[in-house]
Amino acid sequence: MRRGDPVRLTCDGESVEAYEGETVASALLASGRRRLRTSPRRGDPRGLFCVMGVCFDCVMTIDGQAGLRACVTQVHDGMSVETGVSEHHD
Amino acid sequence: MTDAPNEGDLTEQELTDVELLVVGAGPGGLCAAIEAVRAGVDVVVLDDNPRPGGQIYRQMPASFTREGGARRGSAHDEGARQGFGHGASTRSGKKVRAGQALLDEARAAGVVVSSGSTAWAMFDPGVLEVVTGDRNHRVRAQRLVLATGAYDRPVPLPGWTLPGVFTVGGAQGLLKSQRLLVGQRVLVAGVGPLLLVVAGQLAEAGAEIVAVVEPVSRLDTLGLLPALLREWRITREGLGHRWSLARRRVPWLGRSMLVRVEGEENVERAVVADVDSDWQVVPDSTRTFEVDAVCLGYGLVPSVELATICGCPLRFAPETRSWVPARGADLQSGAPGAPGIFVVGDCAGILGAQAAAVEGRIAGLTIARDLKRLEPARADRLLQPYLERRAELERFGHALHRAFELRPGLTSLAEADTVVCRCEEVTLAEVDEAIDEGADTPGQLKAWTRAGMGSCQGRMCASFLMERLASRLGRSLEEVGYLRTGAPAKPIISLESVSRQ
Repeated sequence: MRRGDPVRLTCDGESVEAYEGETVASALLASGRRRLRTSPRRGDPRGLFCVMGVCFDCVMTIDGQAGLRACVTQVHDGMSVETGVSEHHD
Repeated sequence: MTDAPNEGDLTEQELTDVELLVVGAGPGGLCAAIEAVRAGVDVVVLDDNPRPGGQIYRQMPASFTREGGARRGSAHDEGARQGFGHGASTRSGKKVRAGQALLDEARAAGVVVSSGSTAWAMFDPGVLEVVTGDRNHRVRAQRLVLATGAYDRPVPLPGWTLPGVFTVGGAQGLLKSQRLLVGQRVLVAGVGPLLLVVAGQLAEAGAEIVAVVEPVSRLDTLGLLPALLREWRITREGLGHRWSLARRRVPWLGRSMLVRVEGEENVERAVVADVDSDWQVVPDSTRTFEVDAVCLGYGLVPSVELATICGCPLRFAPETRSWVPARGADLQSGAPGAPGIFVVGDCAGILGAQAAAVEGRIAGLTIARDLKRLEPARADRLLQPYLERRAELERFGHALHRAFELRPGLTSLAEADTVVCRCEEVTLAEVDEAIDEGADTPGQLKAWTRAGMGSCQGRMCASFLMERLASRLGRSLEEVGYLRTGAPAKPIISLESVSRQ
């Protein structure tokens, strides 16, 4: 099995290698990053949970837009991703 | 939540008329579409994932290709840590082939799936609002098939919000669709058939499973043997995984439950305790495992949000402790004032992929008959074997539910400071305080504490809130009712841009 073409993203300014077809969540998990955000009320570390787009725990700021789910967002070359305090806003 | 967009903006948009609209491209939706398309019905299938197949037949992205050997020289391929380097096992291969066979059948029949489309509301009877990308479409259908599936039952316990805690469905999806392992040292805890399947798949892909932890005893599952033998084609996959776990000497801890997850930034330790036959924790019986991931699997909860939005009345299903759309023998819901709405698959009750496929075919054939594309006599002849098979699968499913029935101790794991609403970070203590002060329905708890008000629309907490209300008030689960949700069926991030158009 071969993944797609390699792409590069930055996470909090650090370079992360990824592959076309991966989700942001997968790319970050593969690079050893499990903490994807900090919860707003209690400051708890949060990451993936349901990995199917229903729990909204994995929301991150992606290419400047806050509250996007990492597990359903596909990577593209040059994407920038930030952890930090994040919650989904409708 | 923002307000729904101005209805005036939407109702001025053009309507697309279709004969049959199917929501969900898992086995249920695909089979309904296949039968209807074959009979000449005009069908549109919507699915909100990037590729069809639902959860059970989750596909890899188009850009991943099946070739020999894994990509070398990156974090993705370090040994067994996050890679999946050695090809699918025969058992996983079988499932992949079954999924591929269904997708091939759908393609051959001429079924077209609109992927990345989310049906989110019904403002006018029979008209579904659908978002694809950042555009809203309105689709008016003569018949509707809802095949929206299910999601893992969330079980609050101390530490469950730590990064590294996954649902078994999530771990399986990550493996199937992204070829990644959730961790290197994994503890799998839960109950039911999916547990062993996923533990086996993770082990076969190279994870070290430190233990499989289940509250049932071996004796509990013995009574299942006749049912398991009758449906041996379905059960052999699970048995195969059980064997591959045994071969790897993975400890199976019966009469045990995961009671706490510990760690600073991520999961570091999993604490397991003995439980009694009611799944209540036996004091001073804990042992601790060093892990980097935990998978929780305590069954599935039907996704009924779209069905309720469409006006389908719900009934309480005691076998899964959840609320599901009420249906007639032809799988049609009793929604008043709405066109024929058929509800199939796990969203109507957790009976598994085979049952979903059979129900899909029943719905598709029935709709073809209703729309006069199939003669009634011919339709009935085609329906008969599916109806019989459905009855068999329902009996089988209920036998599984009885054997793996959730017991009271499951909802006693959360402690006062445990977050029970993940989105709004509401603790058990706050929920209990509200109940003691008079909140006696899930809706009141939501208004009181904000539990259920967050992004997930209560999917991650409603089941627990219902159980907590029932146990604290001494009422039945059915009496306390369910958390009512309105549109949107799923949060639509791009809705703001829709309303501005």
